[in-house]
Order: sequence, then structure tokens, then C-alpha cells
Amino acid sequence: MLFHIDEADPRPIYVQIMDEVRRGLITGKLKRGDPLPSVREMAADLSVNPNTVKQAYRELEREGLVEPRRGEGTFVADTARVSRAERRTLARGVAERALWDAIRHGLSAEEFLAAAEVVARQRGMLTEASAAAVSAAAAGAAETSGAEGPA
Amino acid sequence: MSDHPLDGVTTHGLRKEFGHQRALDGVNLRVAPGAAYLMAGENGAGKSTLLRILLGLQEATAGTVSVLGLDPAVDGAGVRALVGYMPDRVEFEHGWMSVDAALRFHARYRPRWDAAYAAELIGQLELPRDRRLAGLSKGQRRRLQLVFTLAHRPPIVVMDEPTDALDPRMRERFAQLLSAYLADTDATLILSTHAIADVKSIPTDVGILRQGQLVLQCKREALRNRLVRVSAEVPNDWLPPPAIGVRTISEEHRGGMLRAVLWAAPEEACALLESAGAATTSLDALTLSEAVVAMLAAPPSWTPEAVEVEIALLPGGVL
Repeated sequence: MLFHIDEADPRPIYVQIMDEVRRGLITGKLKRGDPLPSVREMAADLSVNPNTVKQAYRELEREGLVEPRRGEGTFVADTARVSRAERRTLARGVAERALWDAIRHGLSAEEFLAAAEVVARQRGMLTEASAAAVSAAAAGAAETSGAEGPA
Repeated sequence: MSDHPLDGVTTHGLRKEFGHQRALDGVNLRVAPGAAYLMAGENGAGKSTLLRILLGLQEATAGTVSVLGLDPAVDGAGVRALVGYMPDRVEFEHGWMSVDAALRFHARYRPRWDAAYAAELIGQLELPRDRRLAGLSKGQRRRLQLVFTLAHRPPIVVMDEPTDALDPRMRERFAQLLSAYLADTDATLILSTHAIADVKSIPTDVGILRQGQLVLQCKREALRNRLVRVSAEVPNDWLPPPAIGVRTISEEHRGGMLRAVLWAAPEEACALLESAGAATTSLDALTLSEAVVAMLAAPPSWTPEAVEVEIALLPGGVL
């Protein structure tokens, strides 16, 4: 899998690397037991500081997504499962970047959300039933997380 | 960051005067072991002087220096044995030597020389082994200097404008080789450059020298969330309130449009502009290169510490 980071992204680089691994797991490009690039390879490929890669791998290990194997490197954990919470974390990151992009274009959050729903419907990715589920989930998330989302 | 004198590279109250001119003025450098420290500043800010003092190639007027616990003014040779130094000049003394002969020459003076690694670098940097040094292009000489700098596996690497004279493809390769070197050795890096985009996401720490003073020294990630580029529509007679004024690093205010770089987190900037009657039209994080350019263009008295003091003194708290 090809990892991608962006120096102008407001997320810290180690978080960008973690999100790339999550993306790999969700899209199926990374599977349980797959080796991750070594710290050296990843650092050289992305031209990032190796300590940043180590930090990302350490955090991913803490989350149970990857495991170091002595002398062999870092692997996707056999028990790796992208939990609902992780999918939500990833989704919020994507939403935050998309929202900033909307604000950059002079759009309000309302205009952006309305347009996202219209586009998803046009492409057949959102039905009446799933749209209702989205609204319910958003209402639930707002209740539990308060004002956690982007301003 | 540790204050143990044996750790990393530090200076305390470092001063350097050339006649009546003050090149360095009370520099307290803190480079932790394993850090990759980007030293930025305009021409004449004192960057090369500072690096040469760290190497013991120039003497300080006052202040103390510690490089892995050694004082370069006392034990310059000891320091230079530990440091891979890439100076800003591309000149070789022995123009008649071939690249191969020059490598053997360096190996003789460097006990830790790694011939296999040198050969790997020569290959990756596409250097002609049998060419005489005098016959190398400027870019080739720069690449060979990189081999001399890294092939003795130094625990400290000091580079002055390392990508100068490299073409775009070799700049990419330079960043890859340097990242791999840091992964292999856990070396500490101090790097001075104007071409900040060339060093990608390697720096962990940033220092900004202005007129011989280190006006900023912090973690790179601390800058990521403290600097934001905004544009906003403002009323015609709009004046920034103090809360925005003190956070403004640079601004361009024309007609009803404001474009500025602010010392603020993105959501903070948004809220401040909104409460001041400005409609934000764009909000961007800055790359490291853009961040440094913005801070170099700031008024001479500008420092993050001064801003934080002014923010604390604002009536009504932070906002």
C-alpha cells in the first residue's frame, strides 16, 4: 500500500501516518498479519523523521492495531479490528478536512452538509432509510460528545 | 528537553563579535539528542557563524558551548571527530584525486568510516568513481560532500545549505538518504537552510535566528497548530481589535479584504475574526516553509514570547 502524508495538513505527521494505516485496514489494502514498512523504509519513503514513524507505530500498537515482532519488524495485529470508534475517528478527521475546505471556499457548514447529502443521494450512496440513520447517529453523537467537533 | 550537559548540543549566552558588529547575541541553543533541528534565518543572521562555532572552527567572544559534553573551543579536534559537517562551500583541495582515491583518503582519517555504506551512497547519488574531483560538476561535488559527511557514521550531523546546487531529483534523494541515516543511527541533526521545502518533514525542532538572536526555538509540531493563514471580508473602516492585532504576524489589508498570518489555533482565529465582525473566507495551516517565511517577515521586535505576554495582558482574558 502507498502511504501519503501532506506537510500542509493541520494534523500532526504521526497522526497522518496512523490514519493512513487505518485507511489501509478499512479499504482492505492492509490485512491481519501483513508487514508494515520498517521505520527506515517508511521514513525514507515519506522523507519524515524516523522518530515520527516510531511514534505512529507506538500509538498504533497501543490501540492494538499493530504488533512488533522481535527482529522482524511491525505487523498488522492478528486481532486487529477497526472498531466503530476508530471508524468514527477516521470519519471525523475526513469531515474536518472537508469542512475546512468548504470554509476556504467561503461556504457555511450548513451549505456544505446540504451539498454532501445531495451529492451522496445523486450517486445512490444514500437512501431515505440510511439518511434517517445518519441524522439519528449525528444526534446521538452530539449528545455524547458535546461540542467536540470543528467550530 | 534534558539539560544534562552531555546530551545533544547546547550553547549558553553565546556571543560573537566581528569588530563592532555583533554576529551572535546571547544565543541559548538547545538541541536534544536525536532531534533534527532546523536553523532558519535570513542571510547574515548568524547561522553559518553559529555552526562554525559549534565545530570549533571559529571562536566565540563570550558564552559556553557543549557538543556531546565537549567544548569545541578546547577540544575542536574531538568535536570534529564526532560531527559530520557539510559546509556551505563546495571546494575540494585535492582536485587531482579521483572520487575513489578521495574516499580512501577520508577513510584513512576516519576510524569509524563505513566503506560499504560509502559505496552504497556513491551508487545512490550516481557519482562517477573514477572521475577526478576537479572534473566534477557543482552538483556532483555537493553530492560527494554528502558522502564524506555521512560515511563515517557520525552521531552528530551539521549541514549548512546541504541541497544548494542539487537538482530536484537529487533533492528528493537527499531527503530520503538523510531520513534513512537518522533511522539507522539515531544521530542528532542540525541543519541550516533557506530551501526548507527540501528537508520535507524531517525537522523535529525549529530555531529562527534574527540579527544574531534566537527569537524562536520550539518543536515543529508546536508551530503546526499556532500559525494560520486567513483571509476575511471586513467592513471598509475595519480596524483589528487588540486581540487580533497582537496575534498578527503579517497582514495585507486592502479595501474590504484582509489577508493575514495569525499566531492562533485555527478555531481560535475563526472565533476572533467572527467576534470582530469579519467574515472568514479562507483558513489554512502553514507548511514549515511558509511558517518560517511568515516569521522572518514579522516586525523585528516580534517574538512568540512577546505575543503570549501581550495576549495575557489583554482585557477580558484570552478572547
